[in-house]
Amino acid sequence: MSSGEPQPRILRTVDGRIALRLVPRERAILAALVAELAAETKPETKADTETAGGTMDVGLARLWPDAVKGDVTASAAFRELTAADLEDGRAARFATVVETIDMISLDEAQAAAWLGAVNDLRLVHGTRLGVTEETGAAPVDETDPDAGRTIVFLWLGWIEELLVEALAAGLPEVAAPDERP
Amino acid sequence: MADHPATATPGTSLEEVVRERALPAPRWIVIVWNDPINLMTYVTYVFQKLFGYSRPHAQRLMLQVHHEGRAVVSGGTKERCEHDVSRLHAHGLWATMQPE
Repeated sequence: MSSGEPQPRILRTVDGRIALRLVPRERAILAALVAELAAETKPETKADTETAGGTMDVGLARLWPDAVKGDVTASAAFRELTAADLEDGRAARFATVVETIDMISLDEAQAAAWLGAVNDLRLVHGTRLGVTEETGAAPVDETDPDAGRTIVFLWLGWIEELLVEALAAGLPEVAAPDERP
Repeated sequence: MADHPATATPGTSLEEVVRERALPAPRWIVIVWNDPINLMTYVTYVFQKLFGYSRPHAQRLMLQVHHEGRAVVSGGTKERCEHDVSRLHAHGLWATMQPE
């Protein structure tokens, strides 16, 4: 396209697929980040940390939140029940991203896997960085030792916004009158 | 369910048994809490996708989470709420459940 608005780098095309107009370096960074998190969240790695008496890193802990507020026992029971599914789902989406990292377009399920993996990355990296709702509102201070990691976090946010927009465009129309929770 | 014994004590009238058995199970609710990381557009999308809510309704719930710190996003039996919480956790949202 030589004129007009630049096209989004990730977008839903008329055939219903989600086109990825990312450069090889962007794909390489994403693949590396996903592979790193996949290794960190492998059940074996997690179990090793727990048997060694270690506490889980705050970033990883964000991926296993408490289900019953103020009730540690009920939350632990819930986690016991759901952890395997949660871990399987996460491992599957990480694997999908790695397998499809060089593709020029994704189907619905692959794009959903990308969105889930990017969101997992943002949760882990953002929690480790201690981001607030103001992060990204001002330019990143390049003298900050966390500047590089903050820029990666913000870049993941940009990728995520594009993926959400492309996927939301494929949701069925739901007419109001409205649902009550 | 454990809260509703299937056997009645001897001497209980049929009416009492029926009344007892018909008591609704306690209703549970699912709450999503604000966090500084999840994007507003992502949270709206997840509410639409998981619960089939319309975009305006999903957006209202997201804004309630954002401004008030929490919103009730679904409710029903304990089992249904467990299912919803596990799906919200799988999507990285900070969800909890409690009796209403």
